[in-house]
Amino acid sequence: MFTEPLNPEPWEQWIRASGLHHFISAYGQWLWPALQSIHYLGFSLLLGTVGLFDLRVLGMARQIAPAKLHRLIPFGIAGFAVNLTTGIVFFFGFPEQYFYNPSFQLLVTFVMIAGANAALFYVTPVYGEVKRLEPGDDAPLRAKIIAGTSLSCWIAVLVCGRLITFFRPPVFH
Amino acid sequence: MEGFFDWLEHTDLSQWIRGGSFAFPLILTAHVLGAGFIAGTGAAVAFRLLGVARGVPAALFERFYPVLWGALALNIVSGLLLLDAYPYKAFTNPVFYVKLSLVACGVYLAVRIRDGVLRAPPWQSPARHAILENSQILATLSLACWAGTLIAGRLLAYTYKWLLVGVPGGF
Repeated sequence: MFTEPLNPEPWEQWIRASGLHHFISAYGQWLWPALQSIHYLGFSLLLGTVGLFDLRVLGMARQIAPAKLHRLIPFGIAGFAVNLTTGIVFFFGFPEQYFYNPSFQLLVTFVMIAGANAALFYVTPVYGEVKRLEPGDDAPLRAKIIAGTSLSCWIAVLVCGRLITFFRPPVFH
Repeated sequence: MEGFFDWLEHTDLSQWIRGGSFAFPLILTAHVLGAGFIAGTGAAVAFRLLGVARGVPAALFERFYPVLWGALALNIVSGLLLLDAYPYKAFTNPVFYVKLSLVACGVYLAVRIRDGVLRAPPWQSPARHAILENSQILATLSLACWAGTLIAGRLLAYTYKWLLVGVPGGF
């Protein structure tokens, strides 16, 4: 956890001097609601693709072969890319509001756990095992653990994201 | 009408939800999570009908409908609680009516897609082309409705004229 210093750190001063920060400050009135909406759409895309894939591995809709359902994953990755981009814009708009916000710190932690978990899925033999599953097959336990971790992490990311507003650091520049 | 909202805002439950404890953030978060699952599941079905993941028989996507209905049930409950906390804020905001209409259209389309497409596979029907074309129209409309619902929902925070009866919103 980080506590906000009395004077802005050099990194914060650098962000505040950037063109992106000034652009957001100038057009925030419409830019902010628009980007917030897009950020929510991106997340929903992630839940509807990665989330449903995780649910299949966990045992829901078992008649679907996971390898076929995996075709939806690129849409989830696109959703994540959109959210990383809009998220960076938010951070440039109000850096200290996010950096010193416990809810945001937890959000980043869960994104990193979800990323490491996804990497574990694809680099270990688990991905191959899941890909070979036929319709009706039950996934092996280690695949279920990864899918359960994935689903839990993304839900936690959404919860932390929504709660950012309620954990704003007291100081506003 | 204002008298009714004023009374509602002064009931114990309404005041407790607004009271600054965990209640409001918790209910709001559940509502946002539910809407994410509803729109996400709806989008996955729509993508399949538009040609993504063709290897999955469309009929099997009905197996994910419990996610959609479960999340909808969660959101009816959480939505009513949010409405109980800030009734005047919602009912005096035109965007709220847009959102409710979009939800109604989205649910209607989800049922139409289930009954008319997922349960009537085109490959078994003599009217194959008609159903395929119809399913793509339904899928596009469904995507638009759910995207619109999320956008309208998110914009509620930026468009309300009144926070409570007699308390302006500042927009």
